[in-house]
Amino acid sequence: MRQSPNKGIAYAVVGCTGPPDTGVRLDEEVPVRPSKYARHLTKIALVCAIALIAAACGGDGGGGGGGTTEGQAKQGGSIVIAAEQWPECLNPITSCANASWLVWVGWMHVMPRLMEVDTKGNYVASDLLVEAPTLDNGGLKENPFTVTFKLKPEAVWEDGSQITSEDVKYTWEVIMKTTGTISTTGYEQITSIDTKDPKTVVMTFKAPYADWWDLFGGNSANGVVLKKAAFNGKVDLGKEMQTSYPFSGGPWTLKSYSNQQAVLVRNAKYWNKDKVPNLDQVTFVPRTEQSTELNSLRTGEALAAFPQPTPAITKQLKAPGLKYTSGVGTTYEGLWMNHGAFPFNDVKVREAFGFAVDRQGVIDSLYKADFPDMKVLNCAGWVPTVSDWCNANDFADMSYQPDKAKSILQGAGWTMGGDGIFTKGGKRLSIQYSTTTGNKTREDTQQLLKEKAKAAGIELVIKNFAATQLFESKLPKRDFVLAEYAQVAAPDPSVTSILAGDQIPSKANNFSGQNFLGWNNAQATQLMKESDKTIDHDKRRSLIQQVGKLERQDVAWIPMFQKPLITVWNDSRLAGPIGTYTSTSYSGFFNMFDWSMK
Amino acid sequence: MLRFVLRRALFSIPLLLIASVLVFTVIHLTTDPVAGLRVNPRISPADMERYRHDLGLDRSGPQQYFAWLGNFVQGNWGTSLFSSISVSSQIREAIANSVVLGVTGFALALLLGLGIGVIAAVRQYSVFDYVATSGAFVALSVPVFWFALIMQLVFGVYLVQWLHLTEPILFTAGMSVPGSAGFDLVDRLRHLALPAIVLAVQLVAVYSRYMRASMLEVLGSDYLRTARAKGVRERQVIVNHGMRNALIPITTQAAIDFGSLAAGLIATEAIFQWPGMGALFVRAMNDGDYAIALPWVMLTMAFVIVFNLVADILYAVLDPRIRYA
Repeated sequence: MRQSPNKGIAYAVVGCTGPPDTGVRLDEEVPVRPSKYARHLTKIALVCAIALIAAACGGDGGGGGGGTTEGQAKQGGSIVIAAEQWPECLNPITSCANASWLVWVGWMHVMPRLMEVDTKGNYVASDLLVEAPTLDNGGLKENPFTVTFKLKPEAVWEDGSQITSEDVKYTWEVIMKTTGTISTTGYEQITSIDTKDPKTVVMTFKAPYADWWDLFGGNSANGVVLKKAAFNGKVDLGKEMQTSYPFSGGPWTLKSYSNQQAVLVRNAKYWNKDKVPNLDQVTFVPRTEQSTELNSLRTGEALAAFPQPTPAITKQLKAPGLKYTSGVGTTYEGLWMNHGAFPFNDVKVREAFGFAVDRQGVIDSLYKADFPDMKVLNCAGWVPTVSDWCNANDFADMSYQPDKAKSILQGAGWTMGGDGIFTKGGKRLSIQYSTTTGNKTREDTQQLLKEKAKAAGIELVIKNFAATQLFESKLPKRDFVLAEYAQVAAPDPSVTSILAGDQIPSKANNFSGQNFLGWNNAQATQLMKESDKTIDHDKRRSLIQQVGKLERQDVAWIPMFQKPLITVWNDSRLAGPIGTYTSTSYSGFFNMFDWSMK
Repeated sequence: MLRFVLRRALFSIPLLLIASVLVFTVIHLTTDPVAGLRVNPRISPADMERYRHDLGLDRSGPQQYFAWLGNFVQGNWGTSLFSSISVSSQIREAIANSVVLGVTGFALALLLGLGIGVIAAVRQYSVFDYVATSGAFVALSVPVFWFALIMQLVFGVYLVQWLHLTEPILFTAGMSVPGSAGFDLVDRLRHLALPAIVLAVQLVAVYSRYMRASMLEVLGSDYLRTARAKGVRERQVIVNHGMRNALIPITTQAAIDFGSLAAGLIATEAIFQWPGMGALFVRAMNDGDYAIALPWVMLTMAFVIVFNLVADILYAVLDPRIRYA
């Protein structure tokens, strides 16, 4: 019997017995002249209305369960899953791989990888490995830095041939040499891969590389192992795997892919017998309009989905049989200040501004109704649901305290103007506040924060930009004052690329680097660099948390909250554990091999 | 006539170029093809630079546009910015799907619209006329988006429950049953029906109103009175003399409408997940993929121009008094 506990960090499971919300108003009256036709129409309308109500209320109550299977899981069956976005192509090496939905629909189920991330954001050995390399078991060695992966003897491709170290080495060559390869970060640190033993991969690096676990697995868009024999040794795979995968080393095999569906079938040769899927087939279908996606769940066409949490989505999920589990993901929203621009070039203003931002108010007003357990994020670049990098106290003191903000400003020589806004040296404390145009929730956040900041004597002037302008021009050229956008907290804790002093874009370096804030703390930069080379987990955490303290000390930026995520499924037909992986970067579909029909 | 056609064709070239420049400018200013990569913590600045260079995004806007135009006029439409799948094959497939949906919806609209219009005119001020008139106003005022969602619920949820069906009579999304392989005509028709109905509903309303008005005008004309006086049967009077003349303004209108259908399927295709031209354009605009959006605009505009021309020609064919110099 295979039985997986519904563990993990998803925090709410909600059932529903109410009628579906169709958006139709039945209470509007239209005056009609009584005639025989009108009388017939009235009768028909009455019957329809009664039938509508009966249909809406008479369905499955959707109670019980919680996405877990008790006893022997039923074998066989075929299900349909609605995908809110559709990957344009399937290549896991090129830019196709930057689409999360490619990972969730495609290669995550089909391709093997070395390391994996568990539900708590920790790197663990995948099914392919005997064990995770550590300093203790000799898998990690410093000077020169080598990582040794032991592949399981029973690990085979779909045709029964062995998965070997040659396949890993081949994947490295492909990543380095493919035209349009998405990222060579980390892979360019490898100097050689020893393949003398077909089941032992020994990677030697130029220097200690703490993020080794994201190579050929982990959390990378291109974290896969390819089957060398499937490509006859060809190393530029830029034009390959556009609409198919010619091999499988995962629980599923991709049977077909088009712009209409992706069909996965059980890989009977999968060596971890606990993860050979219960279902015969899973078909992903694009339902890219969210209303259609939700209707697809209501009609029973699709039995599961991973919809974007839009405002009031939980209300729309109130339909017979549907259940959902929500959690918080790895993407976090923040307020990012330009330290080179007035007034944030003054740390006192940044400190005061921190106390003028009502982070809890934003959550209460805009998110609480759908996600009652959502919390303010106080980690300085990490999230509490991913490993143990986050010190949840970094920004915990920074709650909305307008009087404290005023007092800090007054202490820094600012005086309250007649219009209720602070001034200093003839300059008003007026801040341009930008985000991406067309994002309703962010625009609502701006309005709320603008009102709250005014009570602290700070004026926020909203000026938004199209995403292309904000991300391609304004931020890289540091032509902004205050910006609101999201970052991703990867399981690897490195924040060097976005916060190190040598990553500040400027004219001198042709605006390269992603430290748009211009935060330049030499001590923090040194700690970040050291952390990137530190292999020992505890030592690295200590270094990272020191960076967090410095971020708070300098008020480098202001974390807001982790963005919520939802997995929804038809509880009357589908058994789980379902939703276990909702909060991970692998999506709620990661453990589909454990799902079964009821 | 030939000179007229040639002149119109020549005039359409600058129109197409202006449209492509406008669309390119909008895409260039409002979308970022590499926005997704920017928030990927594993994409280094060097990766980003290489990627932008590979896609040609490090060139100026005009350079990108003229490079695309040069290739386009030589028949080299290239590949999408995000895959190695050719633009021409994607557009070809999308056009085929849109034509199937568009022609079906349009035929349905013409059939119903003209029929309702004729009956409403012949039975002016009858119950049928009132119902048709009211129905047309309702159809015109109901947003397509909303109507489509309601149709999905009615056919996908309520009818299945009421009639205790195992699956909907008409499917609510996609082109075939998920998981199926190959082509099944009945299955395709069951998927085609709802989007075609949704597409047709507003056109039915428009054509029924046009046809009613046009028919009423013709029914009161002297030559119909003469035909009746000569003893021609009423059916023949209406069909052969009345409808034929009433159809002249409708025909030109229909030709223009058909031309704009290619671009007008956006909402219907999005909701019913029909992978046609509308869906392709939405995806290209969201991704900032001008390699797809620009040929799309050129083709849909060409379609509009051609059918406007067809409308003008038809007008001349149907009404011998009109001659184009």
